[in-house]
Amino acid sequence: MLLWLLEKIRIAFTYSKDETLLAKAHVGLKFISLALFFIAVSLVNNLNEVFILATYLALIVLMSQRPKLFYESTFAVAVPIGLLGFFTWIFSPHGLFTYETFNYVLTLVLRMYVLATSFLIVFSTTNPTQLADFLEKHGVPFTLTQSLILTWRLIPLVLKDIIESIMSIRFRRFSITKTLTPVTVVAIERANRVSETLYIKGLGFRAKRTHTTKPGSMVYGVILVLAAILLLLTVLIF
Amino acid sequence: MIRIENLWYRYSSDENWVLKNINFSLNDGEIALLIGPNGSGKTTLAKAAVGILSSFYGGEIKGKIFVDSVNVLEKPEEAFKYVGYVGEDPEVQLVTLTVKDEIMFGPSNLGLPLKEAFERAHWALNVVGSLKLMDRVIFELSGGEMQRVAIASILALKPRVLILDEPSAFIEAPLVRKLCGELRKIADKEGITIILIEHKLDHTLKIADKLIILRDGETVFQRNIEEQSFKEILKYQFQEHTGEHISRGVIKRKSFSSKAIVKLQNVWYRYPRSQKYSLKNISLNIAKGAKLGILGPNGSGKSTLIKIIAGILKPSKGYVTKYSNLKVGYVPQNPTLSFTRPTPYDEVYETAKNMGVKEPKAATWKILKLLGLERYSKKPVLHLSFGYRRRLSLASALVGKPDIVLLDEPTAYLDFEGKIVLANILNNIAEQLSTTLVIASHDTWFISEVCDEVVLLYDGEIKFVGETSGLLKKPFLESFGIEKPFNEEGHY
Repeated sequence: MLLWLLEKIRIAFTYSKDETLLAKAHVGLKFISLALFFIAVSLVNNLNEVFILATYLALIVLMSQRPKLFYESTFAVAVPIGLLGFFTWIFSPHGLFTYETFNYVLTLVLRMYVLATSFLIVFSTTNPTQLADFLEKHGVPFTLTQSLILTWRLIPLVLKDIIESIMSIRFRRFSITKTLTPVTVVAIERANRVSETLYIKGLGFRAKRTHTTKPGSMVYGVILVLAAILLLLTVLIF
Repeated sequence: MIRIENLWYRYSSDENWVLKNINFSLNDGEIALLIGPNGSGKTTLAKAAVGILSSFYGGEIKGKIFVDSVNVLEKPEEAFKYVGYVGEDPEVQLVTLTVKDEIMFGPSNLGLPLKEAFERAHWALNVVGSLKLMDRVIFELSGGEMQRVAIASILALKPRVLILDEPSAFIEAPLVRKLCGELRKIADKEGITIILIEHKLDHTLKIADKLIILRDGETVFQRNIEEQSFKEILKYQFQEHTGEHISRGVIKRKSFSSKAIVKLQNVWYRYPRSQKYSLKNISLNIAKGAKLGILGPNGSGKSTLIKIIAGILKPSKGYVTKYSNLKVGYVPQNPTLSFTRPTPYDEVYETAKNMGVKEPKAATWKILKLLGLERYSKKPVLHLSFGYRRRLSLASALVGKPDIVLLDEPTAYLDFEGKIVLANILNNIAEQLSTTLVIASHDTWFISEVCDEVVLLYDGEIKFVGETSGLLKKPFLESFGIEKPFNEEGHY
């Protein structure tokens, strides 16, 4: 089960290069819209509003033009959010089988679900170099932007390491928590070699870098921002 | 042109010099083959030339490394413009998510105009014959494709000297031959000096102009290739350590039980996000006590098949039947991922206890002795070389007396001597412990040394099942991306 879940998370975090509307959208506007959506999600506290917010997720799925991304993201978040919901229900101060508890748990679970799924779909369809170039043009230091790219690049590799490590130690009947040590060691060794690569490829020796990507389509970006603003206003008004 | 003069180096944590008075020079367009056993200082020398030794490892460095008229040791921050280095693991050398971004990463760090950066990317990919990869995502690439992208990403910096560390480690024979041809062209057309650090000599010797052999940090041999025959070179490289093993061929082994402990029936497997099946209609019986090799080029489905046998992946279609209470031992490609304890003794002892072995102390010492790890039993695992880490991972897998041990690419990162030692160990343990071995590898020599039976996988399909000696006689091997094992003409 754990290996299945890790594999699903790894897949959800793996960059998928497709010429879809979502991938073409202006990278800055895409993340601004996501930030506005996050604010809206943090403000809602009843089921009706959550269903309204789900229209943003629907828009993202439509623009991603690949329903498979939606299923994969759903698989990746289903178990952690399910567990969160279960424990919230068990420890609810309003009792186990009351309307307040069901309403609270369902709202929380759905909020988390739309938030996490939207994030994963946007994350897996965005080229981090595009985002890094956009941020650098707006004054963000390259050390931060390159860290961002490397995080994007290395998350699936670390998850792959965790899966390999669990496979190896599970057959020897060790506790799964023991994977922490080898995975950390391998991650540090890899980080050292990646930093050597960055040095060999000349990162940071020139103050000015050439930006090789364009930020993307303003039209699709504006659609996403408008949708997020509309939802935020709806939540604020209601 | 590169000229190394009186180069000495030692790490800050060690009193001994790792490089001792290295001297050699190479002209523009020359290719040098740098060989020597693991730990002889080849990679350290490469890292010195690219200027990362003092920046990353500290230590003491003496001498000069001139590229044209620039001493890169005096200007390590400029070294990347003159010397390009491609390490042995391509996965960590790709720092972006698409091939295009990766190739343009170096030129963009140089601050070149966008047009020139793109032209360089186009040129570099064309040089390694991989223009079609331009629009691909890094995660989709096979090991061989990653290696070529890693080389192109360094070529795009247009270095005067290109150093390649084990370029054939992750790619199969036909691609190695192609890559060697491409390197010769780069040297001839672009005048780039190339230093190849390599264990496989058959293809590389054909393109190299000079041979340099390092041993214990010293250059013990440095001559033009045409002055030496292959046999002399081989003798010089291995005589001290492995001379008696070189002539070994396929060994006849005792017969094994015909009772299948794992049975695969019409197994198909497709990874999520993948359009095609990684395994197609695989039917296979693994007999008790067998030594089965799964041979195939990169991306042929070997690791997937190992995971299906282990029960980690469930087939998309078909069935896997296993002997009840089958105990499985698994040795991953990166052995470090299996270590949970600080020393080899603790690692094996804890496993023995977990597995309910009677007298775990005695069992631990027995297995450590069998795998030649006694001397290192109290040494921190992270201080062990890669070859010893592999042995320790194997020891941990074996101590619980598994019915079947699965090894995924056990020869990765091992030099020829390391492979010989591991082959002997595996033959020994199979004999003494009566364990079934399943080994996934693209190394035909290793499979032929250890395995009685072999499955040839290509594009997820079984192309041959039978005795190893039978496969080696087949003329079609190379067409499936498989090289013939060692022979007098010199595979290694």
